[in-house]
Amino acid sequence: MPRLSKIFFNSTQLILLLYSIYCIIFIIYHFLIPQTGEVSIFIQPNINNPEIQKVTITPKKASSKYYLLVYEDYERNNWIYYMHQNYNKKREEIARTFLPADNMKYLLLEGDKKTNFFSFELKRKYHSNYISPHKSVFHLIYLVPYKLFLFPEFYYCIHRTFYIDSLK
Amino acid sequence: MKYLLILAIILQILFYAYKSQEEYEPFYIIKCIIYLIVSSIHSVIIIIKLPLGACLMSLIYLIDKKNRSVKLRLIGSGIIIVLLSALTYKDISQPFQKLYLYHLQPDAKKIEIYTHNATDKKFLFSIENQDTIHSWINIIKKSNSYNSWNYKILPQNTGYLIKLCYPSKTTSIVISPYTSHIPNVFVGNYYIPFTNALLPDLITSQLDIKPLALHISSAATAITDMSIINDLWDEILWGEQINDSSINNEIFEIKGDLLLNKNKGISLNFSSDFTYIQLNTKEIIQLSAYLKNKLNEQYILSQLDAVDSLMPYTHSHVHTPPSHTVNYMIALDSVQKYHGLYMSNTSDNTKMLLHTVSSPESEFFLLKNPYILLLDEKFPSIYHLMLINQNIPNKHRYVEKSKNILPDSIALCPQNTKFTYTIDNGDSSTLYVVSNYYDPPLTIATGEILDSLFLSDKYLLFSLVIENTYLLCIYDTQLSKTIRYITIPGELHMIKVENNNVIFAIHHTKDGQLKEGLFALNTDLKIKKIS
Repeated sequence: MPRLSKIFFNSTQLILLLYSIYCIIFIIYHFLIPQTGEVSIFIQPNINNPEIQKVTITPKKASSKYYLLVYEDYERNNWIYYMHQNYNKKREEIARTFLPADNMKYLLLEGDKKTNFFSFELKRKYHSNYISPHKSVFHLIYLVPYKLFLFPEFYYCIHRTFYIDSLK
Repeated sequence: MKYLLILAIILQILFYAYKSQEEYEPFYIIKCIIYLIVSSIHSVIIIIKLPLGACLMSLIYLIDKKNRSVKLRLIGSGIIIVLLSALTYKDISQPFQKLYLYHLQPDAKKIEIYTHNATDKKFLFSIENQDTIHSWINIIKKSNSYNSWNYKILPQNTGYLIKLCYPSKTTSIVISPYTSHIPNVFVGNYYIPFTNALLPDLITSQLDIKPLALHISSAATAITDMSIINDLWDEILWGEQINDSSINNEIFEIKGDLLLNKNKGISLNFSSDFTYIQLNTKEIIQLSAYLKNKLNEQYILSQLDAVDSLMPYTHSHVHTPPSHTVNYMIALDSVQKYHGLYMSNTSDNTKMLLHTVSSPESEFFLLKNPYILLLDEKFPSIYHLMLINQNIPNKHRYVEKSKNILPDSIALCPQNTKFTYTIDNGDSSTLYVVSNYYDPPLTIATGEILDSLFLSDKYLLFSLVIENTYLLCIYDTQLSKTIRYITIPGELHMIKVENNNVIFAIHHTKDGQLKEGLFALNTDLKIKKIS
């Protein structure tokens, strides 16, 4: 009985110790500037059909795991207008943290060391017959998780804004 | 993680209570549990979270006489659990961040503003007026702190860098454009995040350098399309420098000056296809593909020659030459009373009436055999447009009935299958295309339509004017969409189609000088200057 109680006592002390280490590590993370590298965005209009724009996102230093979240900054959802079908909890959490409250439509891409570029095509939902120089604003959040042993992940997020011009 | 810790604390303290029972007390364990659970209850009164349960239990503690030290510990643990579960990261870090901001002294000697991108910065302007410095630092101090426990947001790459120069140190702050729920102010070397909606506008309002036009000195032309000039200015300010030793100075053949307001300007050198740009600091920036294509196009289109008088151009429709054995004409009938469209066969000298028309000014266009397009003028400015099959002349199809169709606007494709026409609606006109005779006509554009010509069976070019700017537009008949808009620096006159090229002329009549140029657009949609 005493041995069991000692084990029990030690395990609760261990949990306390682990928790304080976790807090210290996360506070250190807040003061680190990581070398995650740049992410470059290249937009190319389709020469035959300007309603389609091809977006290529290339992280220069692909870490072993990273996420790219792309969403449109305009509530009409003119370019990204579909919803994800999978309900992976981690992806939902990422989307919920960074998306504005009323925006449910986004693109969340997952990459690893071998995938070093993503290319996708976007098509306008509302066809424009007339010339209206309107720049659609997009946000890209490049998330690189840092994880130490069993502690939770800490994300470094690089936020980029890019534009798609309807006249391009 | 936090709940694991709370569970560990609960288990630990209960175990301790079990172990260190000093005096016998009935229902000891249950009382301990009650003490712990009630002390863990907290409530939110006036925003502050108060451990009310602990207050209640400490009142009961005063009455209780047995096992006092254990019960004190239980109340203490209850308060610790309240603290752990009610405190979030935001409650702890927000005061610290506010304090950090509060310590920014308002007596900086100078504020320097730079553009900031991931690799370097460019100096924009500096502020030395003490009152302005005070007001700027007050605005910075009003930023709201941004707190996130398990992620850290790093600044964007197209922002500004503010350096507050104090006598003893320099504080740098990175500002990004404001987004509603992402921090845009990053203070210090560790990028402590804040949000501030006023700062980006404050900087842009102070930065009163605006680009006006781009002069190309090696070709004596100027590009004045403001959207291109503004894009070029943004790319000069925030473009990333290329450190490629393989690019030598000889490729920069095109020399130009970007005129800014307040009589300022910067000299730029472009490579021959506008891929790279070299600033006067010898820094090389690669332009985006969009800007490169637009600059190239405008560079070609702005190379006009000075002339004494402008040549008037009228355009020609595309027709196949009429066949030799069969002639078509509008003529009077045998009674000399009514006009009609007649087909006369020269070999056997027969004349056949295809369809009656209302006036001798009616026009006809020979489409691919056996169709003929007939524009019948019923009354002045009221026309019927119909399709006639020569083999079945009694059955005709009206494309438009009683509309104000402009006779000069009808254009046919090289194979004579598709055609376009423009209808005048009073203050605007609409351009229609007919590709399939069984479908209704498709609208291409509405506005001040000038002209249309078929470059090929696939591409149709039309010109229109929007807000005094002439635009040359390319419409794809297979996709049924306009695929390109080209801004024309001057007045556009479409002339003819020759060898799969559309020939057009640009007249420039501003600045008291007459300039003219002839250009050709081929089926690859590339523009070349001719003559």
